Amino acid sequence: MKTEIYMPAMSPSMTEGTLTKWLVKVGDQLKIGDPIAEIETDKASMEVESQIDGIISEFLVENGQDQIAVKTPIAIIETSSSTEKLKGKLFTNTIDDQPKQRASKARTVDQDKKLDKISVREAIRDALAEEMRKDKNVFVMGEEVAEYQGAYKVTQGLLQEFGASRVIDTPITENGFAGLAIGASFSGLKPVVEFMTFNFSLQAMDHIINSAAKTLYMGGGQLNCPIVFRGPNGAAARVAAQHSQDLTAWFSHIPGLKVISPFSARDHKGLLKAAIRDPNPIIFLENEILYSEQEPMLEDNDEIIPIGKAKILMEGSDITIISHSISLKMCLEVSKKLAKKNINCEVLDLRTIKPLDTEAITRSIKKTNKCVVVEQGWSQSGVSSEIISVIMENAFDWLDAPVLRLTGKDVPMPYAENLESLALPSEHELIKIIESLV
Amino acid sequence: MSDPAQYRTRDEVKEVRDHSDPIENLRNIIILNNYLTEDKLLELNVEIKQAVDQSAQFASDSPLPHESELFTDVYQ
Repeated sequence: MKTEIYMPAMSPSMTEGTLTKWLVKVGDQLKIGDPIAEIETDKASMEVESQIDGIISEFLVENGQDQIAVKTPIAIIETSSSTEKLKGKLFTNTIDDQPKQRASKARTVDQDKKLDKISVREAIRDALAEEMRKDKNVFVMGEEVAEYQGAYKVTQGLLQEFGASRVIDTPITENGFAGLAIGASFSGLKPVVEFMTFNFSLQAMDHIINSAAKTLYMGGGQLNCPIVFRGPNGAAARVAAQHSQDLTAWFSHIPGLKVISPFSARDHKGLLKAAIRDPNPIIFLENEILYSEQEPMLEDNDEIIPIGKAKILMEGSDITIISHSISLKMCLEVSKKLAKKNINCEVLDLRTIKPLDTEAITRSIKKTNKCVVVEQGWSQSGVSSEIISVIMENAFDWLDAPVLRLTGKDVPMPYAENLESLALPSEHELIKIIESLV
Repeated sequence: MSDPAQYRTRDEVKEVRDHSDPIENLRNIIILNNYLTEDKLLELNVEIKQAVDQSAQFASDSPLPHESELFTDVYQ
């Protein structure tokens, strides 16, 4: 009996993928669980495993063929009759007599590369490469950072330029490699540890908080820990509660850590360079959805952006909107819309969460006399709670209205699309809050 | 997120799968001790795959939850 193997959907948002490589050849005997092909999307790569025992009888797509739609038949397996019960499985389908539609031929996609613009992804990579060229003690380690060039392609090209002793693939054991890197930093090296996402940093919290953040203090100032932990933080799209959360407030609670959460490509580069040169442990929070955002930037600029300095993204006189990372995109949109209604918002990008730029916050409040704080994280003990306290302590007499906040709802990130957007701060909510204040 | 695991060879993965894969080991224990026959195991395998497929199908055929469900099951 012949059975078709389908192009699997690796995530709910996947519609098509590339078959990078067949791992078997026609005539091979397969067992359930044997890897048969490598599949890649713009986000991920994985192996398709055989769901049945049988012999590969035909390939329906070629090595390297791209834009193969999910559920397109990619191969035919000849099975023995005993596996007949496996009819109609998720990735396989028994062939009926209908003529099959073959997957479309490979097409070359023209990459519309704008040379004068640089993405956040490239900005981070450039910062890493420039600091590695400058200082031999800087090295990169993490899951899939070397051979695979980064799960989000942030470390592209680094293995080729700096070799396997400075670009190191780790096993899937965050507590293990975080501890190893912290030890290396105690010995004078400057590790940049990539967490594939900061969700996985939870596995390494003991080392980050008890080893990295406190050793300088407990060692009487004699042993410092010049290390950077970096990777995407905050909500991604449709990956549910355990893989979509903003942990900024967690790290900002800890004495001894510095916490950076940039928005623009230029700030990602300049702040990461500053972080690598800083003698303290740094948490550098990126955002998956921001990786492709582009900004005009000179490729060879060697700008260092100081840690602990906020930046005004838009000047205004009626109200200050304070935020960081991807939420600023929404804040800027809302400000443009409100400008048409004659409400002039000042948008303040914190850039660094710890140490917090209390001067910049206070200065802006003294100018606008009103404020709303926006973050994706949960409200209780959040970044916005801290900012509101800072304003109460430093600018209470200048306030014309209570400072309000717009945060993620107090719920783990829902999987359902409609609930996911309800759980995150929205333009509509922000406009409503601002209109109630001005 | 992904784990293409290009940092280890296929031979290493195969070696572990063949000799120390806990699922494979359990399967061998079940068969060696005559707890179940190979046919019965295959049948179970098929049933489980069907249950998973049906659940996935049920989920993708179902309407999105109502907005009032946003805080459901966060606490009891």
